[in-house]
Amino acid sequence: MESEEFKTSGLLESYALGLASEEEKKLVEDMLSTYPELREELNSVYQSLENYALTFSREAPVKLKSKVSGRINQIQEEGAAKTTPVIPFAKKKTNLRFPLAASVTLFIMSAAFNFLLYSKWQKAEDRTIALEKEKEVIAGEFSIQKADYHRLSGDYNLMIDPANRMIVMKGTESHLSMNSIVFWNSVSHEVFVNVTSLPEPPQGKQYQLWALKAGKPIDAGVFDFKKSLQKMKKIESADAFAVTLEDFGGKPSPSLDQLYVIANI
Amino acid sequence: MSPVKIKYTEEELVGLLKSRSKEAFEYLYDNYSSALFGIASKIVNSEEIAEDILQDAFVKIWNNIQNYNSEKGRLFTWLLNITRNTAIDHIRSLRFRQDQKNQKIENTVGIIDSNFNTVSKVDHIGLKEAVQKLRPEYVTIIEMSYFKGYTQEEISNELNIPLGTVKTRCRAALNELRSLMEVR
Repeated sequence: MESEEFKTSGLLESYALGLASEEEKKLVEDMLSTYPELREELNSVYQSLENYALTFSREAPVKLKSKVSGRINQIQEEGAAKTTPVIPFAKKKTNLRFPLAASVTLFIMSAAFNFLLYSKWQKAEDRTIALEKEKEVIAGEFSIQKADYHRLSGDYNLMIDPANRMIVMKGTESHLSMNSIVFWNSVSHEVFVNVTSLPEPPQGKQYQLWALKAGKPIDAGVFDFKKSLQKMKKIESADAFAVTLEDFGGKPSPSLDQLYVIANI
Repeated sequence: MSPVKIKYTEEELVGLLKSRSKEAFEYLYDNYSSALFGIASKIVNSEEIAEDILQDAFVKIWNNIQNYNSEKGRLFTWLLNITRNTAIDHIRSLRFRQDQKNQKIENTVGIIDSNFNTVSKVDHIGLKEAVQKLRPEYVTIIEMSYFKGYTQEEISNELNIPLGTVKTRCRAALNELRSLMEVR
C-alpha cells in the first residue's frame, strides 16, 4: 500500500484514537517505519487530539501537589534504603527530644572513639613526615570533637536534670524555619539558651532573650549567636519566652517587630 | 529573594527527570498538572477519583521516565497517554460504563462545562471556541474512543453503526478537528 493511499484509509486516525486492532496496529507500525512522512501525519493527528484534550484543562487542587511530592519522596527514600540506610527526618512534628538525645548519644560514642584515636596518634609520633601531617589533621579534628563533646555533654546534663524544662521556641510568621531552645530550671530558676536555628545577626545587632509574664516582657539577657549553650539571667516565673533582634548590648524593652522565635508555656 | 523563573526545553527537562532532579519534577507538575487533571476529570467524571488518577499518573511518570525517549514522540503525548490510560483502566474496572451508557454521551461535554469551572490558559480560549464547532457525532466518537477507551466493536454496538462506518467517521472527525485547529 502506498503512503498516500494509506493516509486516506483512516488507519492512522484509528491508531491515534486507540481503536486499532492488533493486526491494524502492526500494519500501521510497519508503514510508519517504511514511510517516514506518515510519522509526520500521525504527529499532526496526535497534535489535534492533544490540543482538544487541552481545552479540558483544570487546575488541580492545591493540596495534591504535596501529596504527589510526598509519594515521590517515599519512592526515592525506599530506593536509597536499599543501598544505604537513610534516617528519615521527622519534618512536621516538633518533638526534638528524641533526635537530640539520639545525636547526643552518637556524639558521646564518637567522642569516645576519638579518645581512642588520640592515643593511637601518640604512638605514631615516631613515623615519617607524611604521617606527621596526618597526625596534625587528626589532632585538629579531635579538638573540635572534644569541644563539641563538652558543649553537648552540657546540653545532655541539662536535659537529663528533671528540674529542667526544655522549651522550644518556634519561628514567627516571617521567620518560619527558625527555632531555639530554652532550658529553665524550676528549682534554681536558672535559664540557659541553646541556639539551634537562627541566622547570623547583621553587624551591630544581637539576639536578646525575653521572658513574658502577664504580657510584660522581662529581660533575660543578650546572647552570642555563635555559642550554642549560654547561661542567661534567672527568671522566677514566665508565661512565654521569646527572642528578638536588638542593637548590640540589648535594650530595656523588646522591639516587637523584630520577634524571631517564641514559645508559650 | 524572588524566585528565578526557569524555563526548560523538553530535552533538558527529560534529562533532568532521568537524573532524578526534584526541581525538574516540580517543574513538570507545575506545568502539566492542569492539562492532565483536566483529562483525568473528563474521563472519570469525578473530582475525587481524578485526584487519585493524577497521583497515580505522576508516580508512573516518575517511575517510567527512564523508558521515555524523543523517538517515542513528544513528551506531552507520553504524559497524556499515561494519564489517559490510567483513567480509562479505572473506569473499565469499575464497570463504570453501565452508568455512563445510560447518560447520553453527546451531552457529557456540556455537563462537564457547566458543572466544572475549567481554568483555561489564554491560548486555549480560542481553541475551545473552535472546538465548539465540531459536529456532535464527531464529538461523540472522539469521546468514546479517546476519552473512554471503547473499542471499535463497542462503539459500533453502542451507536448502532457498522464497523466500517466507525472507521470512516473517525477519520472524518479527526480531519474536521485538525482543520478547526488550523483555521484559528
